[in-house]
Amino acid sequence: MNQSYLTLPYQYIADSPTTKSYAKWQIFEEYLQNPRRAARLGVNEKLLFVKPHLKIPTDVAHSQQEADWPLYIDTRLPAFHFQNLSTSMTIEIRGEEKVLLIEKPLSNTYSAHLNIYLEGKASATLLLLSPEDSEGLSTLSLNIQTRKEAEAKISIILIDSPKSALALFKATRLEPNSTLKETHILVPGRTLHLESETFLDQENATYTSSYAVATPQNRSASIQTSAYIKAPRTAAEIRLAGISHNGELAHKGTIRIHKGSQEARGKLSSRLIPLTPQSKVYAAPTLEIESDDATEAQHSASQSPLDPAKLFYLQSRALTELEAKRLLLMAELNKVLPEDAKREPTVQKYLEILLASLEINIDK
Amino acid sequence: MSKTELLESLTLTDISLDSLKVRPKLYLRGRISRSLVEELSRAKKEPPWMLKLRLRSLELFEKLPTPNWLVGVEELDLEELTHYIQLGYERASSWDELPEDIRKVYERLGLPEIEKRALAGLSAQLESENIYLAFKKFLEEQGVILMDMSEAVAKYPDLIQKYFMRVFPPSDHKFAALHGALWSGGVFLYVPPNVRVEAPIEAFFFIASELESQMEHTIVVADEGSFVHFIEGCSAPLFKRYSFHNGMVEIYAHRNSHVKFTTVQNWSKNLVNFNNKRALVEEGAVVEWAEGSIGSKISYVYPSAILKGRNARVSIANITVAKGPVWKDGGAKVYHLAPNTQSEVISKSISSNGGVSVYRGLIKVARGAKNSTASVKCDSLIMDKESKAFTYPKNEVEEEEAYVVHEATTGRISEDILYYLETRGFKEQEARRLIVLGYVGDILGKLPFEYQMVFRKVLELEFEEIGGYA
Amino acid sequence: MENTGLKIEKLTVSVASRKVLKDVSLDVSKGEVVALIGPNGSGKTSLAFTVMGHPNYKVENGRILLHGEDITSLKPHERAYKGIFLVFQSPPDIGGLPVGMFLQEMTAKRGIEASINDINNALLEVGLSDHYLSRNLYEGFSGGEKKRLEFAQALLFKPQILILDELDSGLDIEGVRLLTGKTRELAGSGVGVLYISHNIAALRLLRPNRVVVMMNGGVVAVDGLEILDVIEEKGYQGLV
Repeated sequence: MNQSYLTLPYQYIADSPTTKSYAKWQIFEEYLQNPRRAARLGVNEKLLFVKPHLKIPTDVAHSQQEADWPLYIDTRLPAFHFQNLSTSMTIEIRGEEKVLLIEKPLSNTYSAHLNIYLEGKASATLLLLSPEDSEGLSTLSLNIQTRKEAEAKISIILIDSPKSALALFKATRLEPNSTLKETHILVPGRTLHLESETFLDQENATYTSSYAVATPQNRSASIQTSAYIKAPRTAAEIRLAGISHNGELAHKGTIRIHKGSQEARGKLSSRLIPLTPQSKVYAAPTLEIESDDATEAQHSASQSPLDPAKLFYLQSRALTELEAKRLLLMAELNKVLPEDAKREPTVQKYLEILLASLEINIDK
Repeated sequence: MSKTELLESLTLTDISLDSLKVRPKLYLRGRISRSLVEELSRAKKEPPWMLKLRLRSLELFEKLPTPNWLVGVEELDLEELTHYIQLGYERASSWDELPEDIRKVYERLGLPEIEKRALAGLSAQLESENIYLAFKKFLEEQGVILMDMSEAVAKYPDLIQKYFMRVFPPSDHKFAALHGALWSGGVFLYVPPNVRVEAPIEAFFFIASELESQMEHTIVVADEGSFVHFIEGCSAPLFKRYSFHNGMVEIYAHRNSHVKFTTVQNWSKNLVNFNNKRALVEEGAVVEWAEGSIGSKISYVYPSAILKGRNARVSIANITVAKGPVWKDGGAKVYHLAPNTQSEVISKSISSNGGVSVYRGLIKVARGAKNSTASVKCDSLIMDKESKAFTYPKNEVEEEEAYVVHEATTGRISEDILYYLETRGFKEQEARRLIVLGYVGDILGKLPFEYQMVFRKVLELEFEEIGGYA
Repeated sequence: MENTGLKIEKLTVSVASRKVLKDVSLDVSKGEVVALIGPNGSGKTSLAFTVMGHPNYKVENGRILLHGEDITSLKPHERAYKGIFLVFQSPPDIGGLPVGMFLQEMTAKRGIEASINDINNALLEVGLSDHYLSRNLYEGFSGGEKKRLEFAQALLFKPQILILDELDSGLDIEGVRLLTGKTRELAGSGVGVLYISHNIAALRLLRPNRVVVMMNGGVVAVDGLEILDVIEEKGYQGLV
């Protein structure tokens, strides 16, 4: 395997606090120093609530299509990923729903790339459900494009085992007059590093992205979500609700609105809830606005525990302290989801799993 | 092309958002010799510990990495820098030397001739000097120490040594080290326990002295239970010969004291302004920073506070105007290190005619800082297609019983409000001016009254000249 | 008969070391409607929160008995389970929690079987349509809507003791008539009601069995309806 990625840094070197990353590079380094392709992959059957249409890697000889990646690769982790690809596929979804299961390595590394093209009322659900004893590293890149006039949906569900790790790179582009609603339900393993870049450079595109994240003990997640608006009448909204129970959670969000984006709207919100004294939560929401063309550009971040007044109210309704906490946490997570996702039973089931992973069993 | 003209002609339209990630390192031309620093210290008759601090800072300056996040400044001529320190003569020496636009503003502001000359630094004597002397006597009777920093170093060396560059050590970053080596001028203010100085102490009194020097160092020490309000700067535009300003302000608010520190800055557009400001807030103490920044070409100012004792509080209010091809980089940094601490940051910026305003903030709540609350509101108003606003806050919370809230809105002048004002008979220009004043209104209220007047007038003048809004 | 109902015995309570209740005693028997009135800050809501077990309210002296059992050290949910229901003066917004789902959880925890029909009926009884079921709890609700939904919860909850903290404030006259009528009905079926209010007109509609007046954290008078006339004419000062 080509080792040239070792010459690249993990992050842009600059003493500017803007580029500081909260990612746990040292965990990835363990795998990158001694890279080996995973021999065995699997899935946690207990968490499979829907039947997948497609399992990746496919049984037919691991596909080797061209990995289409629009971004410049100049840092170590993506460079390693693209050099290590075992699978590279293109999936086109036209006006239907598809569930894709991406298996996780039990040990060593598995890297996959997917080009996903969504047309009409298309919906894709990606499931990454690690077997409980898996210790491998998955790296996954998604090149997503919504075709003109599409009304697309994507759900990404990650329930990782305590010892595994995931690096996920997402590049999304919306064509004119299309809408994309994304839902992410994420429970990281040892660590999750997610970089999502969305480009709205065509008129009339609308992008809504929701993240529900939980970091239990000894687990961490660094989530970078960016939306770049370069065309008129476009809108981007990124909402994240994260709960940390002795883990670490960092959300770096960027909304950038370039000149020429008349009537554009950009909104970013981050709600991080630390549940214990050992929990760490970091928020770095960024707004970069060029020119006065945009109609709305705002961001908000709040880090605070659950509201005691609300907890008391629920307890006065016969819920125990623990039940009240769970209900309130569920309410916070649901707040960031789009209306239709809230009603989907699969989404609700995975949210329950997410909540359970936090292991809030002991009343403080 | 002279240095000044070069700086003035710098445009920032070349700075695209994509190029922000990686920038060329700052190039330092020439060097500062050890003997220069020794000579400086000797001329000021400083005690040995101060010379040691200067030399140690010089070493650090040479060792510390050069920042590459400075925008618009590619080269710093160290020899030119030290030139003015040696001369000790930083202001214009004749009316004609003043740039045209500054002269015009003085005229429009309607300042009396003598004040104009004083502001321009041309006269060492002011009519108000008598008032200044009387006030100084009043303060002395209360035990308040207020004097030039150099004088204070000579007269109260032990007291100064306790505080000088303690909360902001030279090792912090390269410019702090540069400051430590070459600082000159500034004010030392000490307020004894339980003394409340109700009338604000204005640095305007020091206009004839060294407050305006290139690397002034100001220390405000408020002993237990005291209160003081210090104001530095001037709303009217000021012209300085030097092009790189690297000042430092340290505030030590002891238990239950209250310090208000107001800075209004309107320097001419040939200046790069670097200001290092930090406060150490002990138990029950309150520090209020208020900053109004109109001038300078490029500025980096982040008032900061370390909330060391329980119940310590800080409030930071900034108004920044980035008009024309200027880069205004500012913000606030607060470290919550004890329980029940509170911070509030309000930052409002206005960018127009290609100006760029940047907010960089950090709220850090350390483990154990239970029941702390932090709220940040940073808004940016962009007036036209050429201007930009960037917001980079960071909230790092390591304590679960803490409440940190941040909100930012970047936008343009509301069409609805414009229309409404026009239906009430205001012309478009007047309406815009009103909206801008309304936007900064609540922060403007934190500035002392006479500053508000001038600031408002200056803002009006600035925005009247926008004209031709396309 | 003596051991039924709510008995508050000589309660002295403080919040953050500030005394809010001083030696307060009050009884509410089964089927009784007791009105609790007093000027702002007299301690009425503090009493309600103390009975409900709010963690900020520390009982320094005295006790609370429910049907003869000392509940002073029980947690809020335990008191709720035993049948104490508090209609909050200002219930909190809980975005992300749909009303329907919340009502189902609540009744299940109380051990009551409530079908969707039961829940719908409770809403209709208080003048709310079933489209409130899909709304988030109290998000964007007007004052009147909040009071009605709180009362609907009380109906579903089947409490033993019902404490109403200013049910009538923010409610229109129709709503006041409707809900005071329903309160009377609940009392008629054996519920002990403690009705906290400022609204003399609503109290007259309610026709409580007894009126307790609090001032400055203590009980200053216990009387029949006539005391309302005195207060209407001379204000609370008229009682001193």
